Amino acid sequence: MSHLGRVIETLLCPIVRKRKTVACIICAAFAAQFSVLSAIAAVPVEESVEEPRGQQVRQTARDLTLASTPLPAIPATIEPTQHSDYPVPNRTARSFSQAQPLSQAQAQPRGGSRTAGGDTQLSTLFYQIQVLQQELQDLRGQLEDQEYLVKQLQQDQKQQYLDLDRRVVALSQNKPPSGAVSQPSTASVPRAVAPSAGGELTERDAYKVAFEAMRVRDFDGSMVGFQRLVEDYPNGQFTPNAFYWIGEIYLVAKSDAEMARQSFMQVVNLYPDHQKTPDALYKLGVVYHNLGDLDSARIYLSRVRNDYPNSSAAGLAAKYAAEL
Amino acid sequence: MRKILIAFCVFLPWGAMTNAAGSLDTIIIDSGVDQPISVAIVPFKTDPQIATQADLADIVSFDLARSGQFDPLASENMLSHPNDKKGVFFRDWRILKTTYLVVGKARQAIDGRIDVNFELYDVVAERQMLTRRYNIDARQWREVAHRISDAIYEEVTGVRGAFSTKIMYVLAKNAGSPQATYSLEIADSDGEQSRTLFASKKPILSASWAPDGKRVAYVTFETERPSIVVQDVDGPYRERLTSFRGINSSPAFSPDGRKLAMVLSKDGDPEIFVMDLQSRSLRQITRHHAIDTEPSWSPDGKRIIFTSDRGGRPQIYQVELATNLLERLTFKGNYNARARLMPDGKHLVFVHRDKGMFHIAWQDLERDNLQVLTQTALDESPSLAPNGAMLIYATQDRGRGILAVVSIDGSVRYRLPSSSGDVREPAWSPFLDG
Repeated sequence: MSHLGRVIETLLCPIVRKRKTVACIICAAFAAQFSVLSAIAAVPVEESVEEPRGQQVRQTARDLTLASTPLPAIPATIEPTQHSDYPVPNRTARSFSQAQPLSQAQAQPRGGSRTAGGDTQLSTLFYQIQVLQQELQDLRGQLEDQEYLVKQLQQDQKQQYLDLDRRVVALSQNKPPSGAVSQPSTASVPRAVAPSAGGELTERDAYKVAFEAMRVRDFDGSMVGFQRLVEDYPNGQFTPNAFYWIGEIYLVAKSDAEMARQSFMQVVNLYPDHQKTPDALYKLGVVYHNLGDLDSARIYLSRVRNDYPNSSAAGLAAKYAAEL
Repeated sequence: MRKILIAFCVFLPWGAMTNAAGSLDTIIIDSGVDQPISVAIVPFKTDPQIATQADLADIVSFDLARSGQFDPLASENMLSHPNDKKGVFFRDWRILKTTYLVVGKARQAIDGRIDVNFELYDVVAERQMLTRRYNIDARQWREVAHRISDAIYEEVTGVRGAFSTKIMYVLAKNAGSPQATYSLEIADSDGEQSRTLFASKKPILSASWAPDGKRVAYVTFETERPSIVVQDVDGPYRERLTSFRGINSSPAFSPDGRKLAMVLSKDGDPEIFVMDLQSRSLRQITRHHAIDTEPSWSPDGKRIIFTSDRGGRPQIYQVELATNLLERLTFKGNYNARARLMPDGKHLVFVHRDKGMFHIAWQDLERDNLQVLTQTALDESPSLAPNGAMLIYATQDRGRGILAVVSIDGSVRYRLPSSSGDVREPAWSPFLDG
């Protein structure tokens, strides 16, 4: 009976995993399986259970009892070929059905009477089938996972090769790497903010990931994300925003006014028409104030008010200038 | 940092509507996009004899606000209330930083019907973008408001609006007690105007829409044994389609409406079948001793995706109907279920378990990155809006079943609670024309 624990676990496992939405499915499935179980557990299997599978099981028992060599009969009983519905290239997809092979056995009934010994033998067999099925499912799952992993690794390797190739080409043409505000540390930090999937992010995704990191106050991760975005998409749609947020992070989280100044300058000089420009001008005012350069601070604050009088930054700039 | 803080809380002052039995309460909006588009919907000039109903502008404003992409201006903050081109002074609206302006009228027509028209303006360019006219019955009052919202949304965002669609859900009262009652409800997409399609003392499950929105399929236990029922939304037709021994569940109409995928366990364990609705013939799709369940169709109708634990854990698989070629789609985490493909066929939405919590997640099948969209703990039954922009799902709020909506990028969220009971199993309708 040492199998019993595993069998029950086998039966319950899918049930525990499913949730309310499939509750009725599970209840029914449970009922079906449980009635089989009880059919086996009770030694006199006679009339108590009406479940068809229970009958099949009993029928099989009869076959096996009468067969002189019961165990070699099993492979024939679970012959999978005609049930492999899915011609998937690898052999994992080969499935065998539990109900159908048993009913095959039923299709050729033989005479004879049941014995208690046969039932015990049957119970053992049934447990073994259950255990094997679970084992097979687990193995299938592992194989699927590994297949996926191998595919991922192949893709990653290809990516890495292409990346390396690009760098070699860039070096041989003696071009400096792009990205004006990138720090040396950037290169050594792995793509921390990118999802582990390894696939290339679109610019929008990259921006979103970096922005989300900032929102949850992961400023280091966010900084790396924005810097990568600036490098990967030097002419991108979100590049000015990324420069702006890099500046903000330097200013607010890192208290590095000089680096902040460089980033806000990028926005103001490279994207004078961008919606972030008035904000960046205002921040330059703040940054120069932090750096102790009050004249420059006043110049930038008044530029916000003169050039972008309708922006919300103009109001902030006026307020800030008044307090200088 | 200042901007970030502002972006994540958009609460709405208006929208208190009546709450009929079975209906959903007022929507609670939790978050919107980073920089919503500012729009002003001026109260419609309405003839006094038809002014008894809610103002069309309020309904439209609320629609646009809950999309999370718009920030409607409250009418008390408007400098003027024009209702046609003559009354519009663009400078006024520029001062209020309004990007788009909507004005309109509702008039009693001679035949007893109502004429409604509206105009949409681009304030910056000072030009009319769109104008539409509707002749409606008084009962279509809210519907026409949603159609106006659809038109504005599509003109501004380029994405077809889904405000005039419906949502179907199961309302359970006193669930778990002997007095439990269950009803299948259909309401407007804002939760208003609900009506009961079917009521029972036994649970109702897996409601789903036919692609034309005229019929629905669901599972009942009215005869002790579960059966799949197909019923007209507005007509007399109702039929118990299957009532096999064992499980009859998860009906899903094919995109052409001619077939119904379902789960049956008539031969032992749960397998996926497809029934031809004309001939009633059944084709078995899966054959595996593991549990195969929750089928849904690819938009082209050529593939069925389903949940199976044939790999030891529930994961999403896809089978191509012509070739029976099987492919596993999800690999992250050890529980992924109830998947739906987005209208583009390239993104999958499903229930994903992460650290013991059930969330709705989204996966790009080509790039293979998974994004968790919801933050609550027991999220289930995701159903996509027909434009693919939002999805509705069931979750728990203080021990009570409620519905919630999240945009596909996770930025916009709102909730649809019900004070009448637990609401669950939501299904968003297809586009309903006419």
